[in-house]
Amino acid sequence: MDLSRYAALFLTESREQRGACGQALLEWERQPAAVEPVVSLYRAMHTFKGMAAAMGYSNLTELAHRSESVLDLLRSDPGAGEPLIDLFFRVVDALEQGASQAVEGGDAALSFTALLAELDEASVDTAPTGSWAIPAPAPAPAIEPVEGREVRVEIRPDAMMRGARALIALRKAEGLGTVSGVVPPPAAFERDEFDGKFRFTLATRAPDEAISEAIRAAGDVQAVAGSTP
Amino acid sequence: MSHTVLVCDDAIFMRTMISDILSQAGFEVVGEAETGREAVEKFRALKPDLVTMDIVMPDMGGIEAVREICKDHPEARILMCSAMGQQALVVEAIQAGAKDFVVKPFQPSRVLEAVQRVLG
Repeated sequence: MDLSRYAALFLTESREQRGACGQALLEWERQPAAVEPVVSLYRAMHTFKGMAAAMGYSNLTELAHRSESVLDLLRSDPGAGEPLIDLFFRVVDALEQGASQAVEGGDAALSFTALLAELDEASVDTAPTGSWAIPAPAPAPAIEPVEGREVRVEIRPDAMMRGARALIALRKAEGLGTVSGVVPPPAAFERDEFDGKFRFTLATRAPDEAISEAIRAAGDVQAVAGSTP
Repeated sequence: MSHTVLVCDDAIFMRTMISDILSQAGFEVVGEAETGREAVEKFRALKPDLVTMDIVMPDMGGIEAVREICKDHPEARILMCSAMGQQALVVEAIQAGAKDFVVKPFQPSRVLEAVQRVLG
């Protein structure tokens, strides 16, 4: 993809996000305990990160990503971040200047070592509060199959977000019959240490080939194996 | 007839990039949305064959928009556009009814593979 044609758009949008960040920071200064400025800053940082990553600017992406992580931690206690407001002002300035420099000559020469160190220190000092995720609905009670076969699935080791891919594969299996006894349980899929291998019992009349085909349609499936009841 | 697409992202940069990738592959981008709320409204009005949905958006986030759309249209074909490190949110989006996902930064080939899977 020719990224140069997106450079002007990247700069325009970066300035817009810079404006959103500045406004959020001023608001945060006025109301240190309010959550909305932190959320706005987080969103703007997230948007900038996505654009910088799309342009291949890894140093800018890293700075935005680390800032976003600290802001994530601060959501439940914005007041605790008051001493960091000045740091975020400097981060936003650095991102804005860095964006212009990256468009002119690439991002490789940019170095944000000092700011990254300060952000690291800030994240250690800030208590973790969980993620932005809305709690997932409680899983439906498992239905015991009358007769089922075990299906083992392996997601490709190099696939992005193996857990999310595994969940799609599970959805495909559910399209064929009743799924039960998922190991590890789907709640484990979203953990980073999930290795992409899982098994479950599938009660269905579909032949092995149809099961394999349906699950492989999830994408990034390395192997499907099963045992006929 | 080409498939119609609604592109949802709060950054015009990302909307342009996704629209370019899809248009060049023969899809017809019939609408764009900057917030989750706008995504829900435009989905109802345009009934596109495919929706690309950012996760973090102002007003209403992408996951809530998926939930809202799938409440009335569980068959909606929604492709989540996620940043790295957002697996928990992608999992939640799939539980809410999204059909597949791609991870930024986008490689056109990966986007088109995911689109083909969703349109299957």
